[in-house]
Amino acid sequence: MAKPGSLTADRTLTAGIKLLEALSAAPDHRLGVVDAAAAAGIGTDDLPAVVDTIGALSDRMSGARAAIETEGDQIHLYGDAALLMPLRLSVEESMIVSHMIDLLDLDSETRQRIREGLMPDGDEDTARGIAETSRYGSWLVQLSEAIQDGVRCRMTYRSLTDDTARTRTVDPLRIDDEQGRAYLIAWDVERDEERRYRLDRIADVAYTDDSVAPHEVKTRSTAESLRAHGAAARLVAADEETMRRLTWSGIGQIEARDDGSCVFTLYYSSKRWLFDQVLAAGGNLQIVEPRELRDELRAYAAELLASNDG
Amino acid sequence: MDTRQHTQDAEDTTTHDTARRILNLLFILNSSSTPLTTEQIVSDSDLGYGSLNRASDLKKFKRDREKLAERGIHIIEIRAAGAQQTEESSWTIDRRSTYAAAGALSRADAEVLLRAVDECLAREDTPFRHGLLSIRHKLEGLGGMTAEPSPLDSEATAQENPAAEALWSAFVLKRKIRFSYLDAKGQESKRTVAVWGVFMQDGHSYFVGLDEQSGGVRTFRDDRIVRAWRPTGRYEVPAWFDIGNYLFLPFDLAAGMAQPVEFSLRRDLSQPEVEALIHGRGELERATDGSWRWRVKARDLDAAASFALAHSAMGMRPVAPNRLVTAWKTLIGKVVEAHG
Repeated sequence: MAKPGSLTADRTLTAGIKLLEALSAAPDHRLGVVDAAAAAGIGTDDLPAVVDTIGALSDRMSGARAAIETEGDQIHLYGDAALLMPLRLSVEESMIVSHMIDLLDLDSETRQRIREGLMPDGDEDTARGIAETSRYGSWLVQLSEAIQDGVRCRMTYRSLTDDTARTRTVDPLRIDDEQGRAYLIAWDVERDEERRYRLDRIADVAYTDDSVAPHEVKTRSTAESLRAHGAAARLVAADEETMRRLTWSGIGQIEARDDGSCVFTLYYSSKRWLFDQVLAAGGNLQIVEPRELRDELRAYAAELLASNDG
Repeated sequence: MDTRQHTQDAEDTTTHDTARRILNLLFILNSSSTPLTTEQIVSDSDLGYGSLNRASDLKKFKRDREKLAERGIHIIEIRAAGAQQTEESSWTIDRRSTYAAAGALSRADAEVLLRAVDECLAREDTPFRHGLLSIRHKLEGLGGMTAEPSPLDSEATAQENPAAEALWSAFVLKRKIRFSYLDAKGQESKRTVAVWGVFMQDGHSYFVGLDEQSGGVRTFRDDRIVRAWRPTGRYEVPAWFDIGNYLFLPFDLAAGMAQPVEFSLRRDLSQPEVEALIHGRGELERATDGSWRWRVKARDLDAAASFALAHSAMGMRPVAPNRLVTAWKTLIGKVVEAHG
C-alpha cells in the first residue's frame, strides 16, 4: 500500500473525485499514468496514494467495491460500481467559467446553455468577485474559430496611425498575450506581410469564403516588429525613476548619465503615440533626436490646445 | 520509531482516513439504487463513522456533505410524503444539481470554452491555474473530445506562487486566511484577511479583502505574498462590494479625497476599446454629438491630466472640473518649453 504522501485530506478528496470522473469518461475506463495525474490535478508521485484510497472504497451492505488497478503505466477502473457520471462544475470551477463567459462576451443563448448544462443550481452571479482589465474585445471566439479552421477574414480595425477604422483582409494565424494585452497575429493579405492587431481595437470580423494561404511567418514580438518596421528616436528621461516606469516594447539601448538622467533609443510606429507619451510625462521626457521631431511635437501640442478651447 | 515520525505517521493516517471516508460516502450513495437512512450512514464504522459518540458522527457527516458540496456533489435529505418530522431522514445524491445534463455541452460550446481556458492558461497573472486545468479536463470529457494536452498540465510551472494560490482557495471557500506580506517598502507583516475579490491587472493578480490588522479593505499583490497558513473562520462578502472598483488607474494611486472628473473621447471608438482603456470604471455614455463621455473619480488631478494626454490620439480630452483642464494645459506648456 502506498504511503499517504504529501497531499492534504482536501487535495486527496478532490483528486479522488477528479480521477474517478476522468476514468469514468475514458475509453475502456483506462488512462495513462501521466494523463491520470493531470486529470486529478496532482503529480505522478502522489497518484499511487490516491489510487490506493479509491481502491479501499466499498459498501458493506451491498458488497460493492471500487476496483481500480495500476497496470504498468496505466490506471484501469473495472466494473460499474465506481463509475461517476460527468459532474457539474464545482464552486471554484463555476466561478472561473462565469468569469470567462463574461470576458468572452458570449451571446446570451450560449451563456444560457452553459449555465443550464454545467453550472450548479442557485446563484447565477458566481462571477462576482473576479475582475480583470478588458483585453479580448468582442471577437475572440470568432477569430479562434477562424484560426482553427483556416478561414480568411475581413476585419475592421483601427491602428494607432489611423484616424478611422478601416477594413482589411487577413489570414488569422494565432492569438498572443503580451504585457497584459491580447493580440491577433495575422497575415495582412493586401500588404502581404505579417501584422499584430490588438483584439480590443477590432470593431468587426466577417468570414470570407476563402481559406488562408500558406505564409512564411516570422514569429516576432512587438519589440522585434518595431525594430524591423518602426522609426527610431533618441529620448532622455529626467531620472532613473522616470526610466523605470517606461514599459514600452520599443525601448532599445539605455545609457545612464552622471546627472541621473537616462538617454535611450526608442523604436515606434506612431508619431502621435510618441508625442502623447512625451506630453503625458510633463517635462520628464524629452526628444533629443531627430531635431525635426521636436518641432513637430511643438506643433502637435499647439493643435491639442486649440482643439480643447471653447 | 522516534516520536516525531510516529506523530507524522499518525497525521498521515488521519489525512488518509478523512479523504477515504468522504470518498466512501460518495461511493455508497452513488452506487446505491435507494436512499440511505441517517442510521445506516452514521452507524457504519467501515464507512468511517460508527463511533460511540453519535452526535460527533452526525457533525462529521454534516461536514463531509459540505466538503462534497464544495466539489459540486450535493447530498440531499429526503422524507417520504406524509412522514412525521420525528421519522428518520434518508439521504441521496441530488442528481439534477450534481450531474451535468445529458448532452449538456455541444462540441462547439466545449471548443469555445476550451480555447478561452487555454488562452487564460497561457497568461502569467492567473491565480486559478489548477481550476482551469480541472475545467479543461471536464470540457474534454463533456464535449467528447480528445484534445491535445495542455503543456501546462499537472506539474508546477515556474509562474506558480503557492501562497497566492492559497489565498485564491481561501477566497473560493470564503474562509479567512493568515499570511505574511511584503509591502512596497520591503517590510514584512502578518495579516489575516477575508478575501472579498480578486482582480488581474498588468501581469499580476491582486487580492482585495477586509484586513483584521488595519480594520479596512486592503489590496495585496500576488508576488508579495510570502507565506500562507491554513484558512479558518467563515465570512460573507458584503452585497455592496464591487471588485471592479479596484481595477486601478494611474490617478488612483495618491492619498486624499477622490473627486469627480470628466473626459471626452472620439465618437468612432468602439465600446470594447473604450472599456479596455477605462478598466470598466466610472460611468460611460454618449454625448449628443456622439462623442464618448466618461465620468470617474480621481485622487490625483495631475495624474488624471497626464492620463488624458497619454491617450490624446484616442481623442481623450479633459472636460471638467476646470482644475483638471488647467493641469492638462500646464503639462503641455512644460513640454513645449522643454522642447523650445
